Amino acid sequence: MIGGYARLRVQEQVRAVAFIIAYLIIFQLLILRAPLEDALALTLGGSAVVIGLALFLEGLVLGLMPLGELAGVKLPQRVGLAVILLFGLFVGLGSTLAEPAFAALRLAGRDVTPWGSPLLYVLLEQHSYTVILSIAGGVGVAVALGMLRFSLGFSLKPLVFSLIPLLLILSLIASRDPKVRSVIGLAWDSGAVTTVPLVLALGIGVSRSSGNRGEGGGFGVIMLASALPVASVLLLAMALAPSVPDPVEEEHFFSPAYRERALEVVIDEGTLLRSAFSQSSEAGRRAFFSDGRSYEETLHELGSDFALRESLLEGISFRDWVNHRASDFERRLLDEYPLENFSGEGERSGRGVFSRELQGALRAVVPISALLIALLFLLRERPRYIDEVLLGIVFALLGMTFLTSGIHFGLGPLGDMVGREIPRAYRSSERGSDRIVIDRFDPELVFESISADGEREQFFFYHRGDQPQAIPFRPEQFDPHRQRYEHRLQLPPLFGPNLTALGIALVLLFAFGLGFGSTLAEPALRALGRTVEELTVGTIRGQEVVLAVSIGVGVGIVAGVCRILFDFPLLWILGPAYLVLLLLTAVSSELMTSISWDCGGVTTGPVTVPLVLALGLGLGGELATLEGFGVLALASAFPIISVQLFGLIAQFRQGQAIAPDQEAQ
Amino acid sequence: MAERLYHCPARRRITAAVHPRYVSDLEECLARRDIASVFLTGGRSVRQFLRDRPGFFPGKRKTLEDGPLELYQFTLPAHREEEILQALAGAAGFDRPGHGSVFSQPLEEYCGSEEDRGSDEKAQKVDRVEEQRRLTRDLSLLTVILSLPGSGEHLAGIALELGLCVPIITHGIGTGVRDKLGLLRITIPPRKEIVHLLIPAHDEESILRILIDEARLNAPGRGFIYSTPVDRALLDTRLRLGKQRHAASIEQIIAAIDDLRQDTSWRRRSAAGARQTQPLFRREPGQEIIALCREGAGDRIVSRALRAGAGGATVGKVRRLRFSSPSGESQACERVILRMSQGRCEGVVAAILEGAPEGALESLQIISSPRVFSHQS
Repeated sequence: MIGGYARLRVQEQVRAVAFIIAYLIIFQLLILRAPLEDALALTLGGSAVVIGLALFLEGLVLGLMPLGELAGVKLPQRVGLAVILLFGLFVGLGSTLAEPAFAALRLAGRDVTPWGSPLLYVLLEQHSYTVILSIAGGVGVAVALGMLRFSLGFSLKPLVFSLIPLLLILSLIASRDPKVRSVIGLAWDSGAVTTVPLVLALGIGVSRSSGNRGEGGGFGVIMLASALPVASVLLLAMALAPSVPDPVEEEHFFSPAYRERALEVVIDEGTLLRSAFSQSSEAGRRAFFSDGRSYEETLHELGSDFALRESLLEGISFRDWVNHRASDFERRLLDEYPLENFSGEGERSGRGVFSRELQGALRAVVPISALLIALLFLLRERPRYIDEVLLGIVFALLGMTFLTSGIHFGLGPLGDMVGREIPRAYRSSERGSDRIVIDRFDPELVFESISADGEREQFFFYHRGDQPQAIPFRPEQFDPHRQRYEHRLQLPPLFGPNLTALGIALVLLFAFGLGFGSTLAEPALRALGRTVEELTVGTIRGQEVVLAVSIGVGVGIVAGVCRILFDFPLLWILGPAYLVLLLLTAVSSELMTSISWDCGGVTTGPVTVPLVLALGLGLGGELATLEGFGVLALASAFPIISVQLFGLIAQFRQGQAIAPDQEAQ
Repeated sequence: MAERLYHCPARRRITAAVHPRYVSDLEECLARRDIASVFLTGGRSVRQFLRDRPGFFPGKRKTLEDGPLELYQFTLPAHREEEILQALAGAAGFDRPGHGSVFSQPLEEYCGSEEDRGSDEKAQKVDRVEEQRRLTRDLSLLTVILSLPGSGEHLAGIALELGLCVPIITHGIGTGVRDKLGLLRITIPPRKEIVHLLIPAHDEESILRILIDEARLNAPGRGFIYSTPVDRALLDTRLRLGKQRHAASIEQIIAAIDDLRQDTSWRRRSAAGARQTQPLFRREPGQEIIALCREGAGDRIVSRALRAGAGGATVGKVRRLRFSSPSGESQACERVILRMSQGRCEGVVAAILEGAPEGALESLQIISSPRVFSHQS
């Protein structure tokens, strides 16, 4: 009995996850022709994701959602509107503060530089707690507003029509200020951070028991919870803007003359130094030190002191740093030091990650369930099956832990791997990926070859394993004193030097599949789909909603990637997209309006965010654009369009049953 | 609160399943006709969709198409049945294909408040509807309660294939067997799909037989099926969507013949009294009991009923609409559906009337149900 039950749940998740995993692997192996690293961890991670999803969804269905719905049904019967609003505020605050997805914003801000966008840097590093609070405040007000809407039964449309233009105008104002401009992406992304299923269940409960027939049937809160934080973060940024210095050139920022102002952005000198190493280039580092000697000394220290490596490079391994970030001068200077860290390389241990994710899950699930249980206790209500609800909460906890650790080990690295390789698809020149140092190199091994028009080239044979390989010899890489030759491995561009259009198409295809596949596996969306199916008694299938949203996310991510590739302002896409949305909203039915706007908020969850950010960051870092922000905002705008289109199609289909005799009348 | 409920032995329950587009027409009509309040559930209809195969492939593809439905249910004194049915048919256009179905069933009711009773007396002033439609008699309603997710769609497909009617599907939460399992109950999905089929009464037995066979109701854990009588009905004849090649669909022609002959016995499929070795179902007379109560009181009623001998219950969510107040006030309610054999009925009714929380029970309806089938039986 249990076996059958578990098999059914796991099968469902396997179907959901299979697409994205197969897609990533196929992309990596067949198209990019790069090997899979660490296949065992990937497999384990993938299965953890499946088990985690199954547990988490079951936990939602058994525990959290019934609890939320019960609270929602009972509240209006027992207490006045004011208490409901207050409770909504608390739920919004509580769920956002506990939300692990905020960590994703920090991740997205990894490449934000203190000199290029000081305001954004300040918000993420110094005032991150204020940002979370303002998001939480926005969500809290949104949930309260949503409850008010259900109690009084007014339509979502006026809210959409007033809020969205307001947000767009705010963004437009912000985009005129060079300082605040950089925050727009963050603001729009922060809208996506909410605890969906619970708020959904609560809304359904309240809307059921309140005395009106709201057509939205419990949907629409998530839309508010995604929109209001955008406003609150933008306002916060505008308030902070005057106290933050303007963006400056990198060298200027790190120069001792500017130090005083720089410290307004970065907390202390240590952090500034860290930023110089982990984010800046050689010019910035040189500027940091007053003279060249202490600069070189620090470099030598970095080579010899493993602890310093970790503290200065912030999570980048020394090997990657030397190969990608360091300039030629620095690379030569650090030649003699080993690339591997012998001290703490294995810190990515399974148990550590697992316990950290468990803590995250505890933080996300326990406070909010405790809040609900306390409320039900106060109302002297008890759920019908207490054991079932408790089991559900435990399931949700375990599921979330498995899911996030699975993503950490399986999906995340896989996405990273492909994300790292994908820029090769459109890049027209070669790029160094790694280097091999050949000690005791003998120049006598160098041969010459000749081409048809008589051009000569030097090369030598190098073998790795049993395969000898001809490698072009470049005299400048040979150090005759130490008898050492440094060979840089070059990754060739995928489509030859000039064929970038195909490459770009490939990147876009990849982006679409990534968005589509990861959204298919998103648990909150699946919960939403089930709720929609239940509320419409199966007229709108959950699976169809999930598909519509996934397609929308795919298109949205393609748009976001286009923005990164061609580097145009976010508002150029966001503006028209939302205009189309407003038009669609005007013609859609109330139910579809609420559902679709909610879908926009659901799309950014634990599966999508890491994968999409990996891609965004990979591309953004490669192209030296500002940051990976904004992709998420687009990823939540387009599903709204696709779901509304889907709704209109469904409406048309449903009308078909009666259409012919309409003509006859 | 048994004292507040009045026992009315002969009433009619009207069920109107209507396409959402005609909801406002229907409600307006109900309000005009002094129907004080109705219970509203969401449901869906399933129809066949015949379409050409994509591209140049020859032939047709048959798919099932879901459509939304709103189910209105209310009771009224028997003498108003014809009038209200006619009025509804006129308002929402039930005689046109695709608009929905409406039917009435005889029942015994313990109904809630003074106002329901009041409407009994008020009903004397009857303004006749001009247009008279012939209502189909001799039908019966099959209620199939299915446990497996998606099996409702399957059953609906079979019913459409047999050309019975447009199936109406609603959702409910099952209790009963599930509760005896302890925590293991989570392995049985609580959500049930309730399929309502309107079939010719004369053919009830053979159709039951086919459905039981096709839906594999004789395997454990699939669900059960029972029938209740229908007094008058106006059926939706749009079983198939897609291109229509004739002046009238076959279902419309059947409905027209029903109308002319005033019964459905000519549609009988099996020879009466043919060698039926062993009936799959029990021809065990019993009752369908439906308790409508405030949201939250359902659990209490179910546990009382189970203790009094009911086998299991299905709880669905409904809302009560009151037309008496101008704003169209609505209230969250629950509908508990029980089916039991004759002997136990009285005890269960008494237990529910006794045990329901103060003022929570809105209405208790008892309909006779001549046939039942479930695996356990």
